[in-house]
Amino acid sequence: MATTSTVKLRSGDNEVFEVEKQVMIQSGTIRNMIEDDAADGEIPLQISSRNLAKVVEWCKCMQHRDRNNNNDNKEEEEEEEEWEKKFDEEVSEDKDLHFGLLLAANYLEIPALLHRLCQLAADIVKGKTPEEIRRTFNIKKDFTPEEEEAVMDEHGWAFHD
Amino acid sequence: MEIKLMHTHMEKICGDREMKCSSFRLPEDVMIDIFLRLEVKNLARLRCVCKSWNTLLTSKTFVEIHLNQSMRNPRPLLFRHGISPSYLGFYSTKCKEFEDLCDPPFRTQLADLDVVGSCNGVLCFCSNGSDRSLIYLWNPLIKKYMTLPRPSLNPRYLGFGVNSVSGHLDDFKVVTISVNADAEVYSLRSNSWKNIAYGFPRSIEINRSHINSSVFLNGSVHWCARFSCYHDNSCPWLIVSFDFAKEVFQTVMMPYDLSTDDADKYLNVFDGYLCVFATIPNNTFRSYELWVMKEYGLTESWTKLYTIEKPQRIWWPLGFTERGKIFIRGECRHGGYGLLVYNPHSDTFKCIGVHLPYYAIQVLNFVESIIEPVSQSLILSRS
Repeated sequence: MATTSTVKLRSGDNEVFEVEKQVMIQSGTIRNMIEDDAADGEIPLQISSRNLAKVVEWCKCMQHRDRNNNNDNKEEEEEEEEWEKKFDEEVSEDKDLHFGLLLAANYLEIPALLHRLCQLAADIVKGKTPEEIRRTFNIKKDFTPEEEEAVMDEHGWAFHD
Repeated sequence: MEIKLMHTHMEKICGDREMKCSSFRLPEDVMIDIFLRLEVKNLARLRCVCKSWNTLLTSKTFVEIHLNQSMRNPRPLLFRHGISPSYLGFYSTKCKEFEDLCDPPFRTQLADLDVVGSCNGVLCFCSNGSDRSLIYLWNPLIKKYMTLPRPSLNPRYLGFGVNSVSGHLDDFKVVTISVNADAEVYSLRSNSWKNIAYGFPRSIEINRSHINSSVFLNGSVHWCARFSCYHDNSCPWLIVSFDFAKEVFQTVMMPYDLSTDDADKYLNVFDGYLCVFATIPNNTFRSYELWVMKEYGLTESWTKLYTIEKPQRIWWPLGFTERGKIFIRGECRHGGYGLLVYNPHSDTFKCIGVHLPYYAIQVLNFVESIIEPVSQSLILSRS
């Protein structure tokens, strides 16, 4: 059985984060390792320290919120909402952070975080033209002119309200 | 040891991608998760972004996941016909408002069409004059339609659905029954008609009512019908169905209690079950009973869900809202016929703003999809 109450996560750039197990069990991947007694040493992750710090921060905030769910503390509630709003803004404005977190949440199997990030991505894409989307996400247009004409011809209706 | 294994695994999955992530390389299931949150119109725009998005958005995997997600939220689609202007639109009980659907892109006007059915995002219409052989399939959300080749015989009854066994999402079929009980079936994938060897069962008459249309469920289309009997008034009621996979007609018995009286029956689908509304004649008023077939095809599984004691109003059940309430055509408080929503739990009626003189309105279950009802569609042909 596991003896300590924390797990050590090592980022791709060798920074070690020591986090309470109770916080990290939100990650299916880490939870499985804890249950298999495979989380006693450092867990190496190919996630940058910047992104990992953000994931850990998010998990802490969610755990805190769940624990205080029955508490009617208005002030704390507002603080948490404020934090989430800031998180959304930060992620929406920083594409590299957004994608890094998407990959991390997907790999670490944190459904709530993944859903939130996917919703943010969907909100960004919504209503944009293909050119704007390509610019936002650094996507290369790989259609030949003929292919592009055909695909735009077929879906031109979707650009009118 | 396990940690080491995990490490290599992680490198494979997550390793180099994170470094390149600014060029939007995300795992397919994450992309799908994002795309599923967008409306059909937005998905059409995304197909113009790049080849890999176009490929993913037209893959069978995505189209199928998208369909399954929509199936959990069918929307009531209202079709008012027999009056000008005809009307086709959604009604949301949540927002209590109507949302018009665009006009059909084909030549025939809505007023000259009957709706045959709605299945997996595709609507089937036929011409409503004496010639009913002009048939269209249309996915209104992606603006794609198909005019069917004409059947060899003018149809008297039509049914529409999908072959749910073949594994092809676009395996739509239309079955027609002529005045002489000859039957033909059209397959979108082969874009052709073929005769049904034994035709429609001769001893059965489909119930002709402007409110009773065909109902698609479980790979079959169903009609309310009666056994033909010339010397006896109590011809038993039954349900006749056409299985789109086996291409044969079959019969399902009605609840025993309902099968012999003369009162009206309305076939529908409730909560995924085949259901029958039946009027129960009484001395002073008529009530309605709702029966559902808990186990498809099993006569013994018919179960009475509830009885609606009808307060002197004349009304017809048309369909269900997305929350299990019932759309009915009936009398509003201030007189005149209208479309009402009946809540069986609180036993209350609510008039909603559709004025209906003595004309018909149909309520269809519509499921959003991006399936192209086009013969040899490029979508889905690769699997």
